[in-house]
Amino acid sequence: MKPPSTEKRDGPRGRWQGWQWGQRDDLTLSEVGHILRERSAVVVGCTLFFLAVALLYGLSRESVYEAEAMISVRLDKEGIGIADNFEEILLGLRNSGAMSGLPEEAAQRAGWEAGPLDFDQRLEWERVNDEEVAVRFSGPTPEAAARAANAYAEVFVERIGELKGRLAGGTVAVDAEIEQPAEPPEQRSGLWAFIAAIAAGSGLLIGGLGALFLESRARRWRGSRDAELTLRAPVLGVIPDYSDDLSDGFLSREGGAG
Amino acid sequence: MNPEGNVAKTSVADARDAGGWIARTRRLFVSDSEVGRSFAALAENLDSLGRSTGSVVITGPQRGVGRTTVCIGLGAALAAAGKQVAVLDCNLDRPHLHLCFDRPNFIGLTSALEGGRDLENYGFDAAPNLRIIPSGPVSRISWTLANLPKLVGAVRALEEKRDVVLLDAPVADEVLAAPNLWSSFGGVLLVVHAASTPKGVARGFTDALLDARVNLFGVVLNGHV
Repeated sequence: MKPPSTEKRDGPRGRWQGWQWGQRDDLTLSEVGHILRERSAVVVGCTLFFLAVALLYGLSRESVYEAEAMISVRLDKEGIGIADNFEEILLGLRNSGAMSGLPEEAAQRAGWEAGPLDFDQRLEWERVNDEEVAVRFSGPTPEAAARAANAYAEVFVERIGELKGRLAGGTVAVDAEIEQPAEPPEQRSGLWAFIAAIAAGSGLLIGGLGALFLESRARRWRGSRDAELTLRAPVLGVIPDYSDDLSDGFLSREGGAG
Repeated sequence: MNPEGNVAKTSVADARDAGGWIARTRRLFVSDSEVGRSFAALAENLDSLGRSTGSVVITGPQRGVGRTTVCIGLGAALAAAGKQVAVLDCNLDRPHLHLCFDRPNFIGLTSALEGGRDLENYGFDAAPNLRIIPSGPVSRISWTLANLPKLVGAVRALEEKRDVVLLDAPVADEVLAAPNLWSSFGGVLLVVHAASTPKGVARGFTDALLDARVNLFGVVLNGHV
């Protein structure tokens, strides 16, 4: 709705009052505050609901901590640029017969009770450069993740040691060592606070919007203050409902005629 | 004048409700009741706007909010305060001011407009200083723009004799359909019902009235529990 022009309101009769001048299309902070106070049950209820959902989600979801061990792998192949073939040789190493049963052994060494398949699924390899490989393990606790990553790195290095001189028909010399064992990652104590803040914020936002919607459709006026804030106009009178005062009981319309 | 037309317009339901309206109307004249004091406060607030209110259009966002009740109650309070008041039924599609006093609607506003006569000569005195002017027969006169200048002129003439003229107007969307007419009067009081008027609707009409450059005096909250 387009606001009326101030030119006309200043009109020849000069009868316009200050409250009639203001921009009326926008919701003011005082109006929002009034509605939120009046509908605080909706806002609080919505916020609590979102917090409860966040709590249930957090409880049902396993925490994931990722620990990383760094392995140094040195290859020496006469007459061939190692850098060009590092990826290929690494793949060969992982797929070679000497590496079979590696996850099982690592899982056993790390005390991983969920089995080697689950252990293998949580494991991730990444070539960092031509000499380094990162082994990452995702576990439910920082300690378990670090223990598993280190166990895998240890078993891998041991198996490489057993392969010396046997890779690529004896033409490639390979050596590996744990360059940096995995450290337990830090406990994410702020995560719960973050989730709670997101949930509370969402609850406040949706609850607030719900309160505004309900208020616009409400038919119950709480008094002159409520009417003044809602209509942004002065309330000149509040007439009580007097239908109950009538003794003849012959009323069929609430609020009287008109 | 056509009394038959008036009878036809007065429905059976209206006649049945008339007893209730009369009982309610009687309460509006009891000045020491809570309702009477509320109307006295409203009259005082209206008077304290700091200028001559002249003619006051009383409308509402919807039917049943108590426009006529507020007209009568406010009129009674102003009259009790010593003002010369006239209440004019402008609800030509559904007049019922006369029903509140158990009076016929044979003559009134439409009669005056048709005959070009002074409104002061029509209606009846409900109390000292308080003149009630019913709508009059509505079957032969339509609420057309052609009649609007006549209404403005008749009310202006009435203002010469009365301190305050209260116009029991149609609902706000009908007022907004003819903003030039209703903005010709002193100002508008918007009546909202505390238990039945949707807030969003009331806010919309308040904004729309101001956008239509109607001089809105303020709001009356009726039926507050």
